[in-house]
Amino acid sequence: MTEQIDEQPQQKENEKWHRLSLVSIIYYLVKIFKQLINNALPSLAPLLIVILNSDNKVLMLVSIVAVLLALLLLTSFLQYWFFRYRLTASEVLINQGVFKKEHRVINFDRVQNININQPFYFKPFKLVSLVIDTAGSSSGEGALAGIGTEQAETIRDTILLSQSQQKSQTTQQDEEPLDITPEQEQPSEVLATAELGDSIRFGLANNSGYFLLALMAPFYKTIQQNIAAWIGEENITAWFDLFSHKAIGIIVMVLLVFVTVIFLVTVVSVVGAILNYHNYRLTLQDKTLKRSSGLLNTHEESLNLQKVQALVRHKNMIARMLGRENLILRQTSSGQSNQQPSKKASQFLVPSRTAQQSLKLIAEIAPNRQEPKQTFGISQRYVLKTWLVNFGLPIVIFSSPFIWFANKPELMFGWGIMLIFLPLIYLRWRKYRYGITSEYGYIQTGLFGYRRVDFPLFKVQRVSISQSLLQKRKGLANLTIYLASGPMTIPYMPISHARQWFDEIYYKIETDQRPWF
Amino acid sequence: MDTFSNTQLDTAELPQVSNIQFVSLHEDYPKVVLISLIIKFLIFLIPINIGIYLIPKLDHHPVMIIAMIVLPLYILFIGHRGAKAKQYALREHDLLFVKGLFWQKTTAVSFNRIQHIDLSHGPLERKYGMASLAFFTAGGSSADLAIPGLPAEDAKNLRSFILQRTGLDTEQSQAEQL
Repeated sequence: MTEQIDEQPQQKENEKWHRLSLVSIIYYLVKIFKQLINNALPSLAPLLIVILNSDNKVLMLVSIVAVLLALLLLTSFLQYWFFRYRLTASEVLINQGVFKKEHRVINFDRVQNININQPFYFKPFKLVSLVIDTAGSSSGEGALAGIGTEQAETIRDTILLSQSQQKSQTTQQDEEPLDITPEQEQPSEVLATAELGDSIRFGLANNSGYFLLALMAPFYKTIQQNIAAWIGEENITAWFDLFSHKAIGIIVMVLLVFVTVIFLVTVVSVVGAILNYHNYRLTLQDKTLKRSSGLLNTHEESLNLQKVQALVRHKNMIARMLGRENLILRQTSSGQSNQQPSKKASQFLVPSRTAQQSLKLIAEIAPNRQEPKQTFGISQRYVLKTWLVNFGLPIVIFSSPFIWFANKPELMFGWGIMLIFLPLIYLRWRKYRYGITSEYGYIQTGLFGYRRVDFPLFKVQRVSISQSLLQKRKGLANLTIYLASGPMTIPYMPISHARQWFDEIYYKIETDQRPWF
Repeated sequence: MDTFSNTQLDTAELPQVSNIQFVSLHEDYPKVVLISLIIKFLIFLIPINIGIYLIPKLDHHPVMIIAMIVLPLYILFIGHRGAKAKQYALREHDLLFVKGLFWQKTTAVSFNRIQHIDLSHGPLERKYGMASLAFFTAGGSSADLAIPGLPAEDAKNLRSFILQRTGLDTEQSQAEQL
C-alpha cells in the first residue's frame, strides 16, 4: 500500500484518500483485544460456563476461541478497510467506521501535540502510528496507525511548520516581534536523557503495580485458595510446627507474603518503567520539545513550548529517598476538570531528575522564570480547621447518635483514632509555600514529598478569592488559580497576599499580549 | 515565555480589587430566587410530607416538625440574603463578581480569556425582565462565571460590549459565514 502512494506525484497525493498499511490490522486487533479485556471481560463469563458444562471441554474451548478470534479478525479487517485519510494544506481528514461512519476534520491550528508511536509489531515493517491530539474533546483525536516512518515525520513537520508560521503571522500583525526565529532550521539540542538507572528509579518511585493489586482485589479469595491448595495442607501444618508458637508462625507467614507481593509488584513496576523510558531522549528544536523513548514500543511525542501551561516538579516519599524528582510539563486539559487529566494526553513527563537537573531543564524551557525572592507559608489555622472539617466533626456527628441512642460509649475511641490524622495535616501545612515574581507564580504542596508548580502569570485563565466568616475575621483567604491545565488552591493565606496575587495576575493577563495557547 | 521583559512595577499602583464599587443585581432578583425556591419546595417537599404522614410513627415527632418547617424557612431566608449579596463590577478589561454570605467569593474573568458567553433567561426571569450571563474560559468544564438576575437590557449590552472587547464577535460572524 505504502509503495503505491510513493509512486503518486506530490500534488495528486494530497487529493487522494489514502489507506493505511495492511499491517494495521494487527494494530486494530490489539486495540479491540485490549478493549475487550478492559470492558467486556465479565460478559465473556457465560461462555466460560458453556465450556465448563459441555461434554467435550477441549473441543468446545477450541471452537469458541476460534470463533472469537475469527470475529476479532473480521472486525479488525473491516476497520482497516473503511479507514481512509487525506491531507490538505491545513487539515487532516479522516473517514472511518464500519457501521457508524465518522468523518473527522482536524485543523492543524487545533493540534496540541503529535505523537509517533512504534509498537513492536510495526518495527519489522518500518511502520509507525501517528497520534494527533487536539485541544478540547477527546473525540478530536486522530490516529493514523500503520503509515511509513518517513511519511509520519513529514506529516508531523508539516503540521508543526504550519503552526509556527501561523504564530509568526499573528505576531507580525501585532507589530510585536516576540521571538526572532531564524528561518533556517535550528540544530536540535538534547536537553535530557534517561539511563537505565533513571528508568529503574522511576519504576521504584512511581509504583504503578499497586494499581494492579487493587485491580486484582476481587480475585484475592480465589488466589488464596489456589495457593493454599498448591502448597498443600500438610506443608502448612509442617510450617507452623517449625515455630514454638502458632501466632509467630502466622505473623512470619503474613510478613513473608507481604514482602513477596511488594517485591513482585515492584518488579512489575520497574520492568514497566524500563519498557516505557528506555533510551529516553528529550530534545529542543525551534521551540518544539520532542521526546522519544521505549524498549519494545517506541513513543515519540512533540510539544510546542508555547502550549506548556505549568511546570511541575513532583517528588513522592520513595523518590525522596532516591533523591530524584519528575518534571511534568502540563498542557491544556480536555474539558472534564473533575476527572484526573488523562496521563497520555495532558502530561509530558521527564523521569528521574535530580533537583539541579530539573532546575537546569526549567531554565532552558522557561528562560523567563526566576526563583522567587521570598516564599511564604500559610496560616497555622489551616491545621486545626482542616482536621475539624474533614475528620473531627464528621466522626463526632456520625457517631453521636450511636453513642447517645444505642448507648455505645466505646465508639468514642474513634474520636481518638482520628487524632492520628493531625500530624499528617501538620506535615502538609508545613509543605505549603508560595511566591510570586514578575513573570511566574510558584506554589509548593506536599506531604512527605513535594509538588512544586511554576506557572507563567500571563497564562492564568482566572483567579478567585474566597473567605469564610472566620477567615475574614482573621484576615485570611483561600486563593484559587485556574490554569488551562487545571485549578490550584493556596488555602489560608493572608488576604493582603491573596489580593496582591489577584491584582498582579489580572494586570499581567490584561497587559500581556502573548497568546496563552 | 518568549522574550524577556521585566519592567519594574510598583505594586501599589496596580489596579486593586479592594477598592472597587460593586453593582447589585436586578432589584427583583431576590424575589425571583424566593419564588423559584418555593416552587422547588412544593415539588419536592409535598411528596415527602405525604410519605411521612403515611408512616404513623414519624408523623408528630418534634424533630420532623422542626425539619419540615424551620429548615425550609431558613433556606428561604439564606437564599434571599444570598441573592442580595451577589454583586458585580465591570472594569475596562475584566468583569468581577462577588457572592456568598458565609463564604464570600470574589472572582473575575478577563475579557481576553473568555471563550464564549451564554445568555439565557428562564420563564420566571423573563417575566421580571431579567437574564443570566455565563462566561466560559479554558480548562473548566461548566461555566466559570455565571451572573444571574441581570436586567435583560444590561445583560444584552454587557454581552455585546464584552464580545466587542474580546474580538469574539468578528470571529463568530466569520464562523457563521462559513
